[in-house]
Amino acid sequence: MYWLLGAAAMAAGLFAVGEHVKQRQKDLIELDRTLTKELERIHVLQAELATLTRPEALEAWNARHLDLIPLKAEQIQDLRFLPAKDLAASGPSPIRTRAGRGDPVTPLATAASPRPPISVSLQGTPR
Amino acid sequence: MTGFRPAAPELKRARTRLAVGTLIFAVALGLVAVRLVDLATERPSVSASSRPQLGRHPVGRGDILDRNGRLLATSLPSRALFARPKQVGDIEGAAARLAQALPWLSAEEVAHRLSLPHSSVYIARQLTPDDQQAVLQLGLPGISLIPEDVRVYPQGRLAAHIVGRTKPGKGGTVGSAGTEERFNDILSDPTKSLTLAMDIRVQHALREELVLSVARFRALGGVGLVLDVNTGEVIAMVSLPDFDPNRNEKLSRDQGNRASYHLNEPGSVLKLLTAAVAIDQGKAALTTSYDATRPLRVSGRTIRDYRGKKRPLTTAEAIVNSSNIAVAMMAQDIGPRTLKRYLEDFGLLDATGIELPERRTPTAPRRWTPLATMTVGFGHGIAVSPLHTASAVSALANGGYLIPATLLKRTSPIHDMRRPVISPATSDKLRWLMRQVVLRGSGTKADNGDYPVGGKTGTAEKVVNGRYDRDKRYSSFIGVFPISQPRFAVFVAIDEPKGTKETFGYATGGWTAAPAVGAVIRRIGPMFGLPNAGPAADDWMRRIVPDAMLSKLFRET
Repeated sequence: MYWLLGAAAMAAGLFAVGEHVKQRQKDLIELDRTLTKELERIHVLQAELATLTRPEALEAWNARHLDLIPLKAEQIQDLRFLPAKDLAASGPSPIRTRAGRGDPVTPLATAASPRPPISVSLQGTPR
Repeated sequence: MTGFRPAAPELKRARTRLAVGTLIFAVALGLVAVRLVDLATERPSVSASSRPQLGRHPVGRGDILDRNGRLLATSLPSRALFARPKQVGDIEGAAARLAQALPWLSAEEVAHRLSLPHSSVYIARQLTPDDQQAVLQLGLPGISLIPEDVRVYPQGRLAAHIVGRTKPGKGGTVGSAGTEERFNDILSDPTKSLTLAMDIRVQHALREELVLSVARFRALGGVGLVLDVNTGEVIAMVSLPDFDPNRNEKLSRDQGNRASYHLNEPGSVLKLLTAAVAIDQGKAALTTSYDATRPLRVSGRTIRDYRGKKRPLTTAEAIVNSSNIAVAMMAQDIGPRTLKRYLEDFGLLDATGIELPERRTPTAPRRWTPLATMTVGFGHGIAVSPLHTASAVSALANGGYLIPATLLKRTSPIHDMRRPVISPATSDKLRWLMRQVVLRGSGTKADNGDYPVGGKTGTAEKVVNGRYDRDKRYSSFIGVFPISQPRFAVFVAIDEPKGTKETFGYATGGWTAAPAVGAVIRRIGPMFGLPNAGPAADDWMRRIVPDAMLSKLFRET
């Protein structure tokens, strides 16, 4: 008789779990639907954003509100074309280094570098 | 006191009843348990297929993006106006009310469609949300909205010829032009997207300059191309007049893709290739002299120079002054077989591999007679697309490799697909020649202080009814920049430009297309972070031709 009661209890438990899973599945489907709708809305918004940010539209908005101008070639420079500075003539560097105050700044490029050596003078505030 | 003791038969009967009752309950409980197990283990009432797929866009076509991920084409959900005529009843009344709600609909046309002997008819496709609301508010019997998707091109005309367009087809929209048609299989899957090599910013700059030039020279149309010379990627491709892919308008021949489909004689641009072949084959050096004193008579035809120098010219002068006579002699020295083989290697005798349905095989002479060889040498008697020209000139500038042009963003190294056509040393000389054309030849208007440009002008008379028409020109310029370390080739051609007061009536490539190329380069260089040329921009030229040699190459200086 006990096995019968045990089987009945197990069956009841299994039923409860099954019902729980079904409910979860319904919830999941509902969430999926909501998510798909949201994705669809995002997609529509992306298309709208792409339309509003067309280069010609941005140009018009810029002309009306910002007056920004495109970057010019002379505003982009290669480090190679920066004028070199005579380190010996410029005196001790105002930059504090670990080795001590006033050590000369080491040039960034070395003799082995294929590029011409670059001297960089960092403008710091002397203390 | 004695207890109640049932008689033995009664006790026996009671036990039997109890046993039967227990059995019945046990069986009933067993049945309930079996049913519970059955219910718990049955298949879910909602099948997996009815569950919406996560992340899947509900409409039916993939996106097209530019190289930076900017949206060029996408599908949005929409509705079609659909009718079952038998259920409509008052056809005239329904048509009038629909035309009132949707003013762009004609009541007569709607009534005609509703009178057709079909069980169901489409009245209008791809309604906007406002239109859908207007139809729903009418509440007409037999009229309904059914879901469909609408293809949207947020950039409008800007990338029309590259992106193409779609048309309604079986099971949704299908590509009917451009990459929409070429990659229809991929784009039919909404989970996939296509990333093009095109940069919408460059496309915009190119289109704007081309629109200005076409308007300034009152031309029939124009074409512009920006090609990455080291990867073959098409960074921009503009063809004017263009069209709005969002509208389903009928296109004229003029609105076709002039960059990949229309064929024109390239004119003097081809002289660069002839010079490259002559130098590569050892038939000419930069100092080789050609007698361009008087016109050349070949097979009863006369080859003349446009504003010729009427004196012997070196190879360098022949290219810089764009001498037909000198280059015809160069082609003669090369010979028809070799010239044809090189032009094949440059890809000028076959259709390009561009991923567009709008492409064509060039036309070339059927018989490579001495006259045909000479005229092809200076760009006549052969018709190619601008894409052919730009790819071939890219090969001249990039060290001598022909790299197939592509609309798709490259994701793998190009070493396997590039093919050497000329030697790197010849390529260096050609870069030098192209720079000289801009410094002292017909291409000076492409020069700018920002980037060193090298290039070549081309002005071809168009063939009308089988004869060259002197008043109808196809004026072009191809520029490569920075010519010291080439990155991009920029091609602009103006179809039938008319000279203006500013150009003193000239409508040649040097006056019409070269300034447009210069302006495009000035705008797009900073977009790629290319630094200013600097004072040493032309130092590389001394490595190819020492200063002391210049007087031998250019006798007038």
